[in-house]
Parts: sequence; C-alpha cells; structure tokens
Amino acid sequence: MQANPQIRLLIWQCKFLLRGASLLVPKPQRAAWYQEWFGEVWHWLHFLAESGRLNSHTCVELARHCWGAFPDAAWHRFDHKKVSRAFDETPRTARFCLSAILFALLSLILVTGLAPTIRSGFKPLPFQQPDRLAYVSMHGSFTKYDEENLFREAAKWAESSKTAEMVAAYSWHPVSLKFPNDRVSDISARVSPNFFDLLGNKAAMGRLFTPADETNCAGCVVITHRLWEAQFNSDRNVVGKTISVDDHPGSVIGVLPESFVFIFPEVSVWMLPGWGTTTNNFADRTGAVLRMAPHVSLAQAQQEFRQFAQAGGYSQPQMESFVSRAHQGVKLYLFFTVLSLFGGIALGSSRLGGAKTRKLKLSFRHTLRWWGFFSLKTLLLLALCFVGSLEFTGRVSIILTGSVHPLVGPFATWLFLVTAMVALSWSLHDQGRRCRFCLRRLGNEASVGTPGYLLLDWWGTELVCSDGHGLLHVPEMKSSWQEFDQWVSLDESWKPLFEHEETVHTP
Amino acid sequence: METVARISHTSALILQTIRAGYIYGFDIMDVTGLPSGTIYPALRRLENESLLRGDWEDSKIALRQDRPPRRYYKLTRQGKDALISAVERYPLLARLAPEEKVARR
Repeated sequence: MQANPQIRLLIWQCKFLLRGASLLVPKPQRAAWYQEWFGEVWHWLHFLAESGRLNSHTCVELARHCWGAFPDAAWHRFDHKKVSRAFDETPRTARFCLSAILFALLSLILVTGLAPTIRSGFKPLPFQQPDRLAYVSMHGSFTKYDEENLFREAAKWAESSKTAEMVAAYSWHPVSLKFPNDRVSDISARVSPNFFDLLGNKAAMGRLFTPADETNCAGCVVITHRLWEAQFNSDRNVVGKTISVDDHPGSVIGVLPESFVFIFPEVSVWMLPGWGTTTNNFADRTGAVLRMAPHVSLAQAQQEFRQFAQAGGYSQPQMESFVSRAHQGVKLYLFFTVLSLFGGIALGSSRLGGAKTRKLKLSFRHTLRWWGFFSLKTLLLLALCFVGSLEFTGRVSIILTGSVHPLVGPFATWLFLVTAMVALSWSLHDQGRRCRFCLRRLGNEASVGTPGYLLLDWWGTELVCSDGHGLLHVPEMKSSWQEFDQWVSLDESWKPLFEHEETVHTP
Repeated sequence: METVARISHTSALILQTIRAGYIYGFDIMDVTGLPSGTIYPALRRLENESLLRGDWEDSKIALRQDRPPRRYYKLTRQGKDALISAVERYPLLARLAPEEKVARR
C-alpha cells in the first residue's frame, strides 16, 4: 500500500515518539508493546485519511494519543504498586537517612560558596614565621577604650618589652565607602604604621605603610585584593586614586596580596591611626599584635604583656598565639564530636540495655552496622551544625549590622553547641526507632492497651519492622527510670504476615 | 473460596466497553473518551489480573492486507464476574455503557 507523503510524515513523527517511549519499556516486552501501539496509530491514521477527516484538529488528537504512550510505557517500567511502596519504604532506610543528611550538608556548603570561613582556616597563615606572632586582646570586658590610647601604649610596650621585637596596635569598625558609581558599607581597620612590617607582608601592587607615613601620609589607604577587584575593576593604575571613607577623602597607596587575611576576611580598607578618633566599646575591636623575640616562649611573652596591659588600665587582657579562628573552631568541632559520640554510645547502650533487649543476640556484623550507622549519622549531623553555625552567623551579622559583630564568635560557638545537642538528641531518638537488624525506621504505629488500666496492664505504642524482623514496645508512661523501650524479635514463623501482596482480592 | 477482583470505576467502564464489542485500544478510547495514557495502562493491569486476555490478530491476514497486526482484548470468566460485581457496586455504569457493537476485524 503506497501512503501519501502527509501520512508518511505523520507516521514517521508518531514512530519517533513511540520509539522514544518504548525505551522505558523493559526489553523483553518492548517489541510487543511497540507493535501494539504502532498498529493502533497506523490504523487510526489510515481510517482518518480514508474517511477524509485528516485535519489539523485530528492531527493534534493523534499527537495527544501518541504522548499517552509515555505513561503506558512508564507503567511497564514502574509498577505503580511498587512505586508507591518504594515511596513509603525508601525514606525509612538507613541509606536514605545518610544520603539526606549528606545532601543537606553539601547543599549548605554550596549555598555558602564552599564554606569560605572554614576553608580559610586550613590555608597557611599569610605571614612570615607565624609561629612567632601573638596577639593581645581584652576579652570579657565591655569597658569603653580609647583607641588612641592603645596606639600610644603599643608604642611604649615596643620600647620597653624584653620578649617582643615589634608591637603594633589595631582597631576596626564599620565604615561607609563611597566610589564614583557606588556606596557600600564595609569594615575598615586602623593600624600602627609598622603593622604590615611586623607581619612580614609585601604589597601586591604599590606599597604598604611605613613609619614615616604617620606624619607625611595621614590620608593614605591600603585596600584588599577583594575591594580592588570589586570596586576598581582590577585597575592596574589604582595607586593614587581617591576613595571616600565616611566622607573623608583618602588616597590608595597599595593593594594587599589576595591571600592576606587578618582576624577575619571582611576588613577591606586599612588606614593609619591619624584618620580619626573612635571610641570602641567592645574589647574585640581593639588589640595589639606582636612578634616575639627569638628563643622567647609564649608563656614569657604572656606574662610580660599581661603586666603591660594591666598597667595601661586594660582589665582581663588575654594573649594567644596566632592561630586562626577556624582552627580553633575545628578543634571545638572535633572535641565536641568525640564527646557526643562517646556520650551517644553510652546513652544508646543504656537505652538498649532493657531486660528484653539483653536477650537480643545481634551478630558482630549487625552490631557493627548498628553503631557504624549511628556514628556516621551523628558525625554528618554535627558537621552540618558546625558549617551552618560558623558560616551563617558572620553573614547574618553583616546583613543585619553591616559588619562582623564582636559577639559573632561566641554566638557561633553557642549556636553550634545548641544545634549539636538537638542533633544528637534526634540521632539517639531516631536510632531507638529503627529495626535492630535492617536499620529501617519502624512504622505501622499501633496504640496498645487502655490508659485506665495502667496498673493492671501495659499501655503504650507498638512499632513494627516492615520486613518482619521485630516489634518495638514503647511505654506511654514509664513506671521507673530503668524502663526502656523493649525490642522483641520475630522468628521465621511470622514471615508470611509481612510478605507484600501484588494484587488485592476481596473474599 | 472463589474470589472476585475488586476493580475501579474506570476499569469497570473499560470491561463494559470490551463486553459491548469494542475490543482494541483505539476503539475503547473513542467510545469511553478516556485518554490513551489511562486506557493502555488499565488494559495492562486488567490483563495482569487475568480479567482480560489480549490476543494478536493473525499475522497472515495483516500481512496480506499490508498493514500491522492489531491486538484484540476479550473478557475472561473472572473478568465477567468482576464486571457483574462492579455493575452492582456502580449502578450508574449501566447508563454509561456503550451500545453493543459487532466486532470489526
């Protein structure tokens, strides 16, 4: 039979759709499936052509018919009963639980731009001999300090110190930066003229401050690589250009290297003390950095500088070696994670130590799986809390106040501790509601007993493993602190109850 | 104990249509007005549950007429029982049922 070109084209289009849909059909049934659909389409098309009803409207109808091949093909591939069962069962599995937490963690890392705060903690410190550096801060006090006083004191300490080769003071605060086409809120730092010299940094472009600048170049400004890229479009001729800081004009004398970070990465403009006077009421916003003399230990320097600071009127001065905050954070995370794991295992063991569960004989493999899953789940959850706490608190502070608030550090620590406790509690609760053998989350909750007969009978909830490994009895009201949820293993004779029927028939 | 399959309203309508003589996919679709994405999966399910039986047309006839063979469906004994039970459950089904047709082959 010779078909006209229009029918041939339509058949070719339908064949294309049907072939595409047939890829969903399992291979053994594919040929028969395609044959049936093609037969239907072929007959329909010829019927339309022979009866003179082949028009744009019926062509659309035909196309709609062909698209129907996709749900039909999908039916072959994914039996709806199996699919609905998978939807119900998959979220109960241990693998799904771990994947969901891992997905949340990876999403969080991606959303924060690959966790820059944590990453910066693993980079080598961008200073010369960082092990010889230390900083003095005045934690734990909300006394208002005059910044000028600290700059003067730092110069005096440098002269009289026997443990430090150089001392430089710093202070930082939020500022408003004005550019020809933009105005942004950012953070600036005022530093002693020997600050960069002390750290051993060199400029990526132009030059950094020298002691002579204090008198000759009071309006000099050093900018970070980030600001140079963002506001000066990486202009090679940036040196000499003006920048307005809190409506005071300044002149750019140099750009810092890309790797330079001091205290935190948000500081983008560096100025000399002569820029203006600000009284800071937060101890974290002012401090001094020093380079220890050779063969001087941190303890010796601490003793000397504590005396200096107290003599200068600073209460509770604190001196630390120059490790990054992220390193401290990682230490905190590791410490709390180990503590949580041991605590969790101890708590979990006692919960599983109920009278009924003691009779439960778990093989070594099952025990290993049980605790391995708990440990991995808890580790991932704690990592999620850690990344969230560390990365978001700084950002939220910048959004709300335009700067990294001094309380961000302690707040991040507290936030991590609180979220970690919530995560650990959930991890323990989730573990207790899982099958001791297959680690699936138990389901089919059934309320058993009568509340009024509590003294005569047991009252609580029973949860079942969908694979029939056992039952968990959860008492509604615990009669003693030693009463725990009770696990009852089901033997093989119970198996037929848990087999999944494919068809449902009514008697 | 004899069991009767419990079927949905759509399945019952399809069974009713096939019993009326509309025995291949397009015909059933044309009569019931249901889309192909509903009709064909329903036919597979009913065939899986042994309520229908699908048979290919004799390929020699199709080959002689230079056209692809078609697949025809007919009710099994369980299918007929299920339809009787469904008509009892869905009294309006009788009104929706198409008129009997002489099977065209």
